[in-house]
Amino acid sequence: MVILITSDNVKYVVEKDVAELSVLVKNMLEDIGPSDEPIPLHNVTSTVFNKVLEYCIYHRNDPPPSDDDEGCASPLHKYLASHICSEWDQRFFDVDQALLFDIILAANYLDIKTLLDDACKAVAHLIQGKSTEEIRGIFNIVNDFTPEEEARVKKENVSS
Amino acid sequence: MNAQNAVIEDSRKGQKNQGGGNNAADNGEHNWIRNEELSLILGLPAEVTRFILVYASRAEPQAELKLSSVCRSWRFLAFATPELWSRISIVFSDVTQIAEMFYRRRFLDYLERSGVRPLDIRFEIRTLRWSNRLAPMIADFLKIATTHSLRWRKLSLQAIPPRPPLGLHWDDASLITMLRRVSAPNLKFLEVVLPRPYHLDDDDADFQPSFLRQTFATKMSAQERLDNLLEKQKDQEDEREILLKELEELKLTIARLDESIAATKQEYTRIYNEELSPVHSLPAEITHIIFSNASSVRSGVEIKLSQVCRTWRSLALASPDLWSRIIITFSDATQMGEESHYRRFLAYLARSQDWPLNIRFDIHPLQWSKKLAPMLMRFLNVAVSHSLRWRRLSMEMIPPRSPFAVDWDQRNLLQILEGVLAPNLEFFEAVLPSSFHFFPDRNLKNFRTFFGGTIWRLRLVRMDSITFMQSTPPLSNITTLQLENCVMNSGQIDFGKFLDLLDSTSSSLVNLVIGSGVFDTMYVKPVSVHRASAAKLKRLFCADQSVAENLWLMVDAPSLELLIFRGVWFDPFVEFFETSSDGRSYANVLPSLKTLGLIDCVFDSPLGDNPALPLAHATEGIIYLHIYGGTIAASTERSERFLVPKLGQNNLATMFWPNLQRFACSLSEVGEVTAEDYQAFLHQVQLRTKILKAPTILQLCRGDADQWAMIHPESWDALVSEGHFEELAVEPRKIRNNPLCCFPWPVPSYRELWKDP
Repeated sequence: MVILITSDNVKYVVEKDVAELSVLVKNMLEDIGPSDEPIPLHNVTSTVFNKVLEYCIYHRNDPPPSDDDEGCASPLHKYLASHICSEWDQRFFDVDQALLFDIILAANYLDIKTLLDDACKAVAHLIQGKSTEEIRGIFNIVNDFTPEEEARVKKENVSS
Repeated sequence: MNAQNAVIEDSRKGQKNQGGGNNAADNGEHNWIRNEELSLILGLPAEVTRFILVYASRAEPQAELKLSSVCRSWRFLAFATPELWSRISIVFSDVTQIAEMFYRRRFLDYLERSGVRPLDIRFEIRTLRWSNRLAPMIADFLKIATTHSLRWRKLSLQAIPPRPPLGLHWDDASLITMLRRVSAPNLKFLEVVLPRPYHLDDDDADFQPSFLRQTFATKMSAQERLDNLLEKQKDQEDEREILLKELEELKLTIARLDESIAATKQEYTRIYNEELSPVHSLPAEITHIIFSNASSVRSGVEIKLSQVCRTWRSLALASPDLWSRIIITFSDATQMGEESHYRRFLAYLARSQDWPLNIRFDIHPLQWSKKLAPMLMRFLNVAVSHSLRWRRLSMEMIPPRSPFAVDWDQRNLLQILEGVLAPNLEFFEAVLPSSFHFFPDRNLKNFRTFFGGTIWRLRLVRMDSITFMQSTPPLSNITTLQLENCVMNSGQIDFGKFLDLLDSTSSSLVNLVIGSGVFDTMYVKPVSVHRASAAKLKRLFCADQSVAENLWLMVDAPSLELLIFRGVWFDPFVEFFETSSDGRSYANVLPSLKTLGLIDCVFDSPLGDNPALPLAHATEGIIYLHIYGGTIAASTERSERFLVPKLGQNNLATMFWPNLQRFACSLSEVGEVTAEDYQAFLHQVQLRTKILKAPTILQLCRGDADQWAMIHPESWDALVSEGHFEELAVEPRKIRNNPLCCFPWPVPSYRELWKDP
């Protein structure tokens, strides 16, 4: 078991194989060796870590991503993989944006590549099929182009 | 206390001192307070109210009198504003003594209240009644006015009396004399309108038909008038110059203000976006991952992303990978001419910088146009100039119906590729059917002439309706080859030569798709002489009858794991699976085969045997069987029609596909399925499970499952409860459109890869 402490001082006792899905934690465990010393996670709050932990526990037995034989051309295979998202994952990422982005930042900090990839896909999914105006609305972004700039960039959108 | 309030306070004190607390004063006090409390205009500063009064006085004559009567504070303000009283207009509408006193009093008041302001004085006689007092009265007023002549700016004297009675006359000599003596250095305008003196002769040079109109200007010399006009013109020009300067300054000020407003807006949006838009809290590299994901599915997303805000635009434009996937799609030939498409193409090429390019031309014009070829050439020539960066090149150009005798064959586009260096090309797709019947293209004899022989990395090739008389692409690098023929009779490749390539030790081919009518098997060498060994081939899709007939005879594929037949008729009179001359069992031809797919295949047996028996023996090692489309066995036994994995004599030795674990099928496409059929299915599955001691899973589409549950719920319940059912996620219609979609085929078709979801 591994003891992890979040930035708001919440202590978690996590199974080692789950904790080691985080490359950061894995490296730290290797650095400190066998020890009961808790590992601080400075950039992750307990609210976010709960979600991260939920993901890691669910995906603990997933095979690591690997390239298939020659026929499974990896870029293409990755393409397919990038569009396969389970119902569980869809439900998992069905959270408000602030939490979703915190999960991404946490995954980035903890170096959990699959979580980072899946969360980015979830955000990308929000973008797909939307107009520019809709994208602004979804992410609460104000159009900061000048009218001249906007007219110029809109010309690019022909036939796309 | 502001100025207006000070004036008001002063006037209030004065009022109290004068009135001494009587009722009128009390009422005045009350109204004063009321005004102070309730009238907003009285709350304005005195200097502002003065401006208002001055502007208001210009709207109508003698408005100052009215304004000074509104209320006390305005009255005091008006009296303390000389500007209001500097325009004096006395209209003599009556000539009585009382009227004269009234006019005099008002004139004197105005002169006093105007302080030292320049004066604009106007006298006008409007009475209709003649009086001998008229001339002396005018002279008297003029005399008073002359005491302030230093302040005169304008003087207008319109002294036109009514017609005098016979014998009397109007004498204006004294008026003229008086004016001549006056010193008025600030006078800018003088107007004197006097009646014609009666003593003038008709021949007099100054004679006028009705009245003699004399102005100050007329009394000047011509040179003085010209000088005055020049001076006036100069003044006007100076004023204009000053105004122009002010205008320039104002324009500059406005421009600076606009810049400032824009900067403020930018700052606002920047802070808003940074603070209130959570997505901006993500690091750029993560946003880039999101962009890549978002743009990997649908074309044009990168453009939308670059238009959201400045931050995203900078990030998108700094990400060449986003622009490295270029899809040129046209369904209308006229669209091709649009410069915007071309500019967009160039923009993508520029923004992708040195990134490997994936280019797809998806041209499906609905109408024939002569412009089509030159337009396509224009795009291709630009694309060719970036050929060193090509990673994927896809050209799917389905021709429109061309007019008869128009002999342009779009496959000539391939000639552009001859000698083009594309050392990084990994994927090449060309679907270029002709719009007319043709013979093998004499110009395309050898695939190797393409790309100058530099296609070292080429590993996936799909060609449709391309005929090379004697050659196919080299198989030393290519791991996936799809040869199809969507237009019949467009030529065939010698299958024997293809087998030679396949047999080569350097063949890297792993996935092979053979469409219908691609190969010519007529001159294939006899099996006893040659048998090709496709050592690395793992997946084969065959939609060609003659290739299917020769497969077992001519090819050894020891690594083949997946075999799919489509539209093949397993003709009992063709020696599909007979023992070969070297005595080998055909089950050993494909020792690694695990998955067999049959789409729209027909099995026939004239001997009453189970028609699928030979195939079952030849592919006995499979663990996964897919049967889709109209695949059917022409058998008298109903259970055999559906190719149920049948158990022969209820023992393992006669069992079809003894290792089969999963069986996927689309029942609804075969025909009507009865309750007995469902029972037979269940029986076979249960029997196999019992003998093999391992569950056999039946995979059905949702529609088929619902149908089974409705028609024969008992067998359905048993199937589900015993764990023999799994739902097939793919619908039959989709399988028909894309047969590979439900197989473990690792490489998606190009259309699949580029499609919009």
